[in-house]
Amino acid sequence: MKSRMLMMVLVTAAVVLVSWLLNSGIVSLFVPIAMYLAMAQGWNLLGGYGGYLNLGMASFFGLGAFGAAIAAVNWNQSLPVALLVGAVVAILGGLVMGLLSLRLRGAFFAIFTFVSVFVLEAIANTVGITHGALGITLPTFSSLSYNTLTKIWFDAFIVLGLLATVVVWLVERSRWGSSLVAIKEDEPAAEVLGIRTMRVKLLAFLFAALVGGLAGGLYAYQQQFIYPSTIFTDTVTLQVVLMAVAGGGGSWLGPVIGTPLVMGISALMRLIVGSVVVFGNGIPAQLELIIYGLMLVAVGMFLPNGLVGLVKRWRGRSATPAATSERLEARGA
Amino acid sequence: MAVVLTTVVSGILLGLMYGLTGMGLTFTMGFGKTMNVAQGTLIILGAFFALTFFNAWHLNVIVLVILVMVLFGVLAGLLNLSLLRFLRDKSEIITLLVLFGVAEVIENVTSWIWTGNLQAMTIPTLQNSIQWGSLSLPKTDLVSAAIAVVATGVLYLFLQYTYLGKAIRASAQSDLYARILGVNTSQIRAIIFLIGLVLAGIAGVTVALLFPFAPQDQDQWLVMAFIVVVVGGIDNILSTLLAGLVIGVAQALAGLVVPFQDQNLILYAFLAIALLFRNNQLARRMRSL
Amino acid sequence: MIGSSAPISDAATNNTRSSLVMDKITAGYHADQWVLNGVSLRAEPERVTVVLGPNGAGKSTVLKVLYGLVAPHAGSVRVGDQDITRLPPEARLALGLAYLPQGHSVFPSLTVQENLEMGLWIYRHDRARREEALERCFAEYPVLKDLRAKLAGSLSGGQQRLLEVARLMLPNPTVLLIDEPSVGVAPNLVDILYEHIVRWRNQGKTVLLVDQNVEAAVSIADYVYTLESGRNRLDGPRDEFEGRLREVVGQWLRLDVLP
Repeated sequence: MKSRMLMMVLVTAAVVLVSWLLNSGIVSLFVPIAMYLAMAQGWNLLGGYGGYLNLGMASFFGLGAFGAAIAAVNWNQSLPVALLVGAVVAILGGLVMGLLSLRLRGAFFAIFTFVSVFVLEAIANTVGITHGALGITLPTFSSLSYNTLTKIWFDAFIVLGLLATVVVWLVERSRWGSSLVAIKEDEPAAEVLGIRTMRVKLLAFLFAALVGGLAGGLYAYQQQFIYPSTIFTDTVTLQVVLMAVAGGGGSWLGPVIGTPLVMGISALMRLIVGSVVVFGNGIPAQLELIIYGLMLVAVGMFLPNGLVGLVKRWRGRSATPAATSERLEARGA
Repeated sequence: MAVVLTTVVSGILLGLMYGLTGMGLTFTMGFGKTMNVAQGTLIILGAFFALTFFNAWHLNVIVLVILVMVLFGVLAGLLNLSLLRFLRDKSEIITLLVLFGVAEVIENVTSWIWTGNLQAMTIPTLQNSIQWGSLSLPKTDLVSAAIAVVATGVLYLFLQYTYLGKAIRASAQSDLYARILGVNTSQIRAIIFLIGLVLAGIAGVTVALLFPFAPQDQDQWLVMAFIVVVVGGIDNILSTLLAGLVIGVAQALAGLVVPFQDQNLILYAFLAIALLFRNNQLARRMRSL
Repeated sequence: MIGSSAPISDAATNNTRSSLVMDKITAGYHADQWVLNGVSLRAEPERVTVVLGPNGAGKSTVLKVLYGLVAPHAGSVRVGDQDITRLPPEARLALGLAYLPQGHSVFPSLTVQENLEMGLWIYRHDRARREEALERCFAEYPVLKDLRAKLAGSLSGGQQRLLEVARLMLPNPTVLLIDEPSVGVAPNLVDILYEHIVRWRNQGKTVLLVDQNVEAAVSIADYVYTLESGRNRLDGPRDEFEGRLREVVGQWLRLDVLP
């Protein structure tokens, strides 16, 4: 256990160190990977282990981004305080959303969280505090060069991502983690076993809010300029869910593998499609999202347990047969 | 007073159409146990189909509705054959995941084909209003409300009185017991999905009749459908229509006192209140699914 | 069209006396732990055949395989001289099989009439036959005729049981598969069903009963099979079996306590 922790610290330190040795152009390619790694791990606890499909990561991301931006601009707070405000706003939002929706099973929770993104977008577009559709411009760090900033943002995101990974790794080995898995397998049975399902689910949901909120706050600073329509958008959710599930939801390793893989495949496909098909007006902006959508469909159809699940099956360590047959029995198969 | 009356009547007409936008979601949830997250996108796709056919051939509204229904039926068949058929014995989460992917693909293909610009379908013969006493009722509102009522009525009669409708209701209560009586429930699910999609297409035609629209508007129609479902529940399609009506009237009345740009907020307040009040009820209903 | 185009023969006339045979059936969800492992049994007309066994022996799976709700991995199922191993439930219904599941299987928010109509789903294209069957049913259970507009969920437990039985018998089945009639049902309602089972036997029907309630089941049985861990254990006519009942059941109790 301790050696593992030490290893994670060393890995983090190594990645940070390497980022300062590399060209900032290369590092900038990895900034979104680091950010989505964090968000995918945030999603993973409830979505992967708990089996509750959270389609509202963009809500937490947006609450964090706008919380931080409002604190920084409207209230003149420093970056750490602003990030904290963003995280708190996201957690409060998560608390309200969780209390309203987590008692409802799967499908309803999924669509509730999905809808929350659009509701928050409309609210952010309307109310004065977010400056509405005009968006917010954040303070700049004019003393630092673009190259330095790129590396700082990468480091911030990657530290957040690896911290989230460590938390997920720890939870996987805890009672909390096994409670989440029990909820995924059979929630009524988990309740009978004395698991306080609501609390377990809510905490996992709030973890998603915390990580999503911090990532959103950092993103706001990194982008310098945020609009409701580019922050509260289902495309953020799409990417988070896809990256977590493609790697393997319900495993700490899943997002670590899935995030770079999905981004890599997407970049490659755009390159291929762009060079093969001649578009009148260049590659349409929608292509990236179409590719992500198709990838999600493919993952759902052929790789529902992600790459991690695939490897496990190859090794013959599939999900416990007993649990599977019980599920079949319960469905009356 | 006349203002209030006009407001209420136009709220009713619009509300019936709101009910229709929630109908597909209610139906697939209540009977098929799947929440189709692609509903908003499909509604917008229906609107674009209507717009395209109208611009090409200047068809009348009834023909437009039928044409869109047919196309959505074909789309449902294709989705069923290519994807959903293979997901019947997988978990609900996987189905949702795939539908989420499908929604994103459709939304972006739509915005690729028809661009992201706001467009409107203007049917010249429906641009005026019918005067009725002091009331002035726009023809488009009347036609879309009529489409909503007819679609709901036909669906209701179908569920209540046809053998297939009864089998759909029976399967919704217990898939296993229906199978025991010889019902092929996997075909029933395919039919439910098809009806849900066709309803989204019809709703899309009414959207095109009443509002300018763009691919990214899918979100506001999904939100509307969701609010209708939360207010109306998922057991009865007539209460879905009624829920739409209540929302329409409430929104219209609120419009008298709230500035236009804040009217969406009224809707969300409505959603929050409805969720608070219906949470227990919905939770209980979900448990039995 | 709903449903397959499986052959729909006339259950009432062709198969009045069909035996049901399960031959070396292996079934389950994972190769390394089959729920049924080479189970064979036979149910004859005018007999109540009972399948007993401890929890988890695979009794209910036997019925599900016979009815086509679980596809077997190996082995065959025959009714009369026809192999039905791969037929869906709908086709088996048409061949005269009927299945009464555990617990309460009425559709609560359908009316009594609609519940009965669902029992005739396989004859949905044959109006004359449906009407005739319903008439017969109402003649036999006049209570249901009075209640037909009510929602099934609003009936008393006894009336619901009656509705289930009436619905089961509507297509005039010749082979009845009955799953755990005493699980989750009030005792007085269980007795109603046992009375029916005896009556069906006397009418010449083939009855296969799976039951936890060993004594009650054996008391109406003609032939008894016992299963343990998905395999045939003992079988024999009731008289032969009754003496060893205590011994066998005692063993299961130990199995249940010490899994």
